[in-house]
Amino acid sequence: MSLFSKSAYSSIAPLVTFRIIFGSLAFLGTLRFLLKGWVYDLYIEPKFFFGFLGFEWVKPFPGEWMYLPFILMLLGSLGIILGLFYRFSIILFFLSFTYIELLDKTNYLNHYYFVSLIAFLIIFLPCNRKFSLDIKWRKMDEWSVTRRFHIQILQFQIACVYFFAGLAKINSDWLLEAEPLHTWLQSHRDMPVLGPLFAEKWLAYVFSWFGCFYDLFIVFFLLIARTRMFAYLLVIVFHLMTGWLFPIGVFPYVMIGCTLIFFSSDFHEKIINFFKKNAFSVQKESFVAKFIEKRNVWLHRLLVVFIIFQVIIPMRYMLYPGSLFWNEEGFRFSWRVMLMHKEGNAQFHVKDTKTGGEIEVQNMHFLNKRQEEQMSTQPDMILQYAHFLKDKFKDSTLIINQKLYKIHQPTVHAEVYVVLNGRPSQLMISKSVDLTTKNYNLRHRNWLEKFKDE
Amino acid sequence: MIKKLFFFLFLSVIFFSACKKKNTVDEMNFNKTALLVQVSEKIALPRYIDLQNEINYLIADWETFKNQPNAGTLDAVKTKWLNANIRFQRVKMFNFGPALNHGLKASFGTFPSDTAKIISNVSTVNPDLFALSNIDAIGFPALEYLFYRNDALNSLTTQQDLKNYVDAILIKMKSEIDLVVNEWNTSYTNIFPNSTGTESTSGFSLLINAFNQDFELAKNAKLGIPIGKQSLGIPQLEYEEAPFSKKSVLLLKENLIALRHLYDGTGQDGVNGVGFDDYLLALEKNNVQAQITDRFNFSFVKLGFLSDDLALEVASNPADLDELYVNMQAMVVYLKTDMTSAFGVLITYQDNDGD
Repeated sequence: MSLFSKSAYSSIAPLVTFRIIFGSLAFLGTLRFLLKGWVYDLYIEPKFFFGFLGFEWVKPFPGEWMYLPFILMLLGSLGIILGLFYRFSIILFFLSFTYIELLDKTNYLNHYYFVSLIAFLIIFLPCNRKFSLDIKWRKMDEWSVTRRFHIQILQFQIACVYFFAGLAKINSDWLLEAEPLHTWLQSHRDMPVLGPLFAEKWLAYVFSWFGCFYDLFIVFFLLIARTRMFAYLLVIVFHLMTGWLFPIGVFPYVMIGCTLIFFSSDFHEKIINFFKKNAFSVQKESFVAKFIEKRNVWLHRLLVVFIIFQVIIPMRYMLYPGSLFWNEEGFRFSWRVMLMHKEGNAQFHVKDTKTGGEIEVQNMHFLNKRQEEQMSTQPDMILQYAHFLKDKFKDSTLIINQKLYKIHQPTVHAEVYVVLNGRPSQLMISKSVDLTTKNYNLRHRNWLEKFKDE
Repeated sequence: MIKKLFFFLFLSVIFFSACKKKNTVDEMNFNKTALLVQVSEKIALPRYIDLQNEINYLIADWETFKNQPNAGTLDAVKTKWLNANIRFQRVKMFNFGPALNHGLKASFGTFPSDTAKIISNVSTVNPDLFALSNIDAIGFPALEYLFYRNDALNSLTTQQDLKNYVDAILIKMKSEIDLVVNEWNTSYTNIFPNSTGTESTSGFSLLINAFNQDFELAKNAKLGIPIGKQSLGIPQLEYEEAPFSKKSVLLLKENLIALRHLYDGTGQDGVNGVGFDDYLLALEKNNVQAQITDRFNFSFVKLGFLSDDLALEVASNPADLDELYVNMQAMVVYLKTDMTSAFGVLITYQDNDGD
């Protein structure tokens, strides 16, 4: 019952195993990304990047230099695992990882955001104060205890992920239509033995309801010692199953690894002792004293602000009118995973205001497949792309039948149709809107067609 | 307590959804393996063999022409060129697996051809026809230029280097179609139908994505660009697919018919088997299936008003061309959003988290 204990101190062991597990996942995840050739596909080849609002100044390195942050991430994660130059390593990892994530929102995934947040948090935590090379080689003091909130803040972050993911699933598409799970599960219909089961709609209902229940309550069951083992078994089964059915990469392993933070100090100490060949002598009292001296008021304040933001950000969608799934205002950074299946088609038209002539844009000339696919359903990306097209065509000269045509003041229009969770496609953006007159900001986008749910 | 409430709610949802609509037997019985077997054995492979035969006929008639060059034998070559090109329109949507391995689509059908490059290649000793830079100086479009241009009979009769160039193109095409047919016939015929997973590299995903791409390409390259959709409304006939034979509209039509048959699962034997339409119906997407069928039909109605000669129609009948284009644009939406999302097909191979 660590959450409710009065003592301000707790064994440091959970932080240490967390450090090693997180570092290992970071290392393997980065290696996987490199080996799949995604650095080239996602960050070197594209001609245009969809920056985040306020972070459009974050630009990729030229050409092969894009491999540099990935190599830094590998080095950083090794430092994290070994606990060597820990503070430097985790900052290096956090900055490289977050830099890459900020380059192009096409590649935004909730679990990347989660990794960024965790990396940020553990910068401030003494994860290297036991079982580390910083102690062995750099003669840092070893601690057997740490402040309890160091562990609780990580538990809080994981609780946020699950709980908000669960809350988001309480909607009619998920619970009453079993969408998008029905669409995704039925596509496994040819799987041996289980295939025919996946084509059944009732299975999608079972999965949807179980998933919602799991996300909402798993953290409570992990917190209570009596149910912890069973809950963790569920964590493993649940995440391995989603990892098996859906292309969600390393996310299942990240969650299976990180939720170990809910286990007792004894459990973690046993793990560490198992791997530890030469046990260091432990002098509990003196380290506590040292630790109190180092008490950091600023860290407290920072974490309070962090917690407030983590609660507010997923709820910010309430400030916007209209359908959240359709408009996607306040959708990201809110742990809305597996919630929607959207498929769109965005036909852009650049209009020359002087002659009234139109150019239909072929998106593949400017975007890769994944960028086009993501852009076609997300209004903010559609707007960013429209502004990119305006800049591209403004004052450009076209050669048509050996004659030169100069385009002075282009307007950009898009006709966008989107399918949301198995409904018939409907118009999201009308061709009549001149997107060059619309600004990219946090205001409600009233130029989107309203979502019609019959 | 909460647990009980959830369980109760859950049961009532199951109950009401069971009352709302009965699951059709189709939904459970439909499987993608049957569809892929139909595509592999009754559609793709027979169409490839058909193309292989036509290429052989074209080569045979070309040999005849070389021995007896006259207007009659050249006309026979032209007819065989058109027949083979029509067969190519029926396979170019299978741009994955064997075809992709051997670069068939790009090497047979990149247009418009660069006539200046062709002429310069002709006077080069052993031009490298496999070079990427020569992609618009080979295949059906290059042959069209050499067979159909104004002084074709005279030049092909008198210039040995021209004949050598045609030989080289035909030899390349024959070797490629032979490789593709062989690969599909031996290994791919087993690989393809068993690849029914949801990943973007599975046979089913490749097929759907290639189908959508080919439809869009037909809309843009065969119609949209020449009629001026990407050039301020000013037609660009220099981008026409078959300007010398004046068969551009015919090739578009053949392409669409082939896509329609694939959609329906209609085999080369004319028998309607398992197709995309059946999968849509199994998923109770009757409206999507009806829309796509109607739009296909409307396209053929419009094509019925058009002659084979695109340049002529651009000058005399732009309204019908435009309506055909608008209709195809609407179809792209149904194919790429409604149909693709209903199938749950993945378009890209990177991780996603469902948002």
